[in-house]
Amino acid sequence: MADRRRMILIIAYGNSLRRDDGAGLMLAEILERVWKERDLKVHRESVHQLTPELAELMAGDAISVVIFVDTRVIPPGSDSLRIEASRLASPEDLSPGMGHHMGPLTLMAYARYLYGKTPDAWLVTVPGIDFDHGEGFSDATAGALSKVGDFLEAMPRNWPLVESSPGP
Amino acid sequence: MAKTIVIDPVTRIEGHGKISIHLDQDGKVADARFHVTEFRGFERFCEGRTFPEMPGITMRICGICPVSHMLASVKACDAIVGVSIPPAAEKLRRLINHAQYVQSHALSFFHLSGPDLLLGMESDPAARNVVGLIQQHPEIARSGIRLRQFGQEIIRMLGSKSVHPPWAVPGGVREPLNAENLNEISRKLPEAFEITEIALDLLKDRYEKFKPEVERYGDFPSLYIGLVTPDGGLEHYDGLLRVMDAEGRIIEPGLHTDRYKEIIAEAVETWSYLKFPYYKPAGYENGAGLYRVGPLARLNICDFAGTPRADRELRQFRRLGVGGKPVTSSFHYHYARLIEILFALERIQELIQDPDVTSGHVRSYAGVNRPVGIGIMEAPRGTLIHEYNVDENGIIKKVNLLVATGNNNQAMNKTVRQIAEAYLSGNDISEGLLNRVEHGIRLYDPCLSCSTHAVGQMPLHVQIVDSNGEVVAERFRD
Repeated sequence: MADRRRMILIIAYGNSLRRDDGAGLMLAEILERVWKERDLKVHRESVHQLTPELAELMAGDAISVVIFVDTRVIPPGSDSLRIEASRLASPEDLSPGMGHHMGPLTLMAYARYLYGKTPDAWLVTVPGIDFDHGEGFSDATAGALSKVGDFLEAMPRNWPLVESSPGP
Repeated sequence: MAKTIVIDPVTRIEGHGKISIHLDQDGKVADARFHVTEFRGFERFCEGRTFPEMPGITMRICGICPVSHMLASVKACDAIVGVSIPPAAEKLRRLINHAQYVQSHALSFFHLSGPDLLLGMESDPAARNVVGLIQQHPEIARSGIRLRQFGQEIIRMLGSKSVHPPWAVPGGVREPLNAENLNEISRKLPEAFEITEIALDLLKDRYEKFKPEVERYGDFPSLYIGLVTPDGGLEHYDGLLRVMDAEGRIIEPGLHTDRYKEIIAEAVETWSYLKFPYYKPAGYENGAGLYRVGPLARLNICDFAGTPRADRELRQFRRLGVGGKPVTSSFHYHYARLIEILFALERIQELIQDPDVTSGHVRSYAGVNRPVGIGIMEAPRGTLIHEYNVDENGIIKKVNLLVATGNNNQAMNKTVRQIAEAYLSGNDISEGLLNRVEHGIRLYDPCLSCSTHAVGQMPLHVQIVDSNGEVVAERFRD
């Protein structure tokens, strides 16, 4: 049984005015609701993009696992229409980019090297194909979001609070 | 044989931003282009909405500078309703804008440019990265985070949420500060000053080491445009448009922002969606109307900062200009950015001692009184312009957004070209060249996140393509 004293930190990112780009934000709300219904402790941060100070939050004593939630780009016609999860490993080498982009691995590096904490971390993604200006999701993305239950069912029991093998 | 080198950051949206360097038949750099293929759709997206929605919509353009879009937008909305906002509201807007400068400039200096500045452009790629930086200089990285947090916390106090605060509204703001928040800001200010002073020392200590970069990273004559106070001081929120030429002559001392189209026109190029604004009286051809905005421009055009510590640094900054002329190297954007953090902190210190910031009268109310509203302010990375046309019911008919990154568009292209001319050797796409080109773009702290975000990092894909379209050299970097 999961240890209910431990905190799940959900960090969702995306732009809710760019159609499917905001699907990760929606998925995060659903996950938060489901896990709270299971009496788990959850803290959700929904942001436009990842920024360095989130690393300090990740390194908090109460945090057992960090769930990054994002949209992943798939080509039109792709059959990769499920929500997917993959475990993230703390990086050894990362290059800076040109703009303000910062990924989950960078935040993990910050948490590890600046605050001495390497929480268990996962990247959960929902497929997206339409990134035009506007609100609402494409049919493919909306369909994937409607199957959060199937996604959680396929994950190991008590995920994400227990050690588990990579999911579907 | 003419060749093209393409440096393509592989983001989730293809062509989101890439760099191509074009060589002539002698292998010399003929041109350089910084391609941006996103953004302008936002203008069309806003049409048909009611104007009071605009601050909330436009602040969602960007995750780094939502406060800037919010403020430019509410200023345009203020103009539509035709009211003067209460003094308390203006001071509170200025406060949140100063906080925005602190967090945004700290991100640029400590986290985006830090690896280049602290580890060197030519250092081992295995060490010159984010991990390398935080392993070698963990206290600096932590300081950068704390400084950002200081700015973000003020934004959170005022706007409830640190990103996209639904706080500024046409005619004023929703809420003032409370006494508890004032005490919290006051308590944390000394550390923010201390971190900024350390960063200034750190940058100055390394200037000698970066002498070649200072001379080759966007060191060219240009015009400079930005806002100044009515008496010529450094200004970030309101004021008059000033233009300085490459010799340091003030060619437009203070134009009312409603008249910006008299001096700024927009060109377009087929290879980029980002606009190419230029100084209208000089024209677009051959880069005659090329101007720079942002920290470097603001410190060049102002007569003084208006706060003690920033003015002290400004005097040192001015010595970087040769013979009393403006500071021309874009490498000095870093220094200018730190001076502006200092300025913002000093202004925050002043504002939290002003009783107006806890005043309950923070909003004026009115309906649509004018069909056009123009809001111009200085975003951390440069002059930001929002112009809205509305009908009698306040429905948006037309939107024109001129963002800071666009204002620096020509300068960024010229900077990339200058770096390529200095560091590109034959077809050898060295790690150092890639680092330098990226750093050249980063000097302007461009906001490319005005569209969607990227998963992970931006690996580089470099191609050399000859005039027949054949790839003759190619390199990827993760």
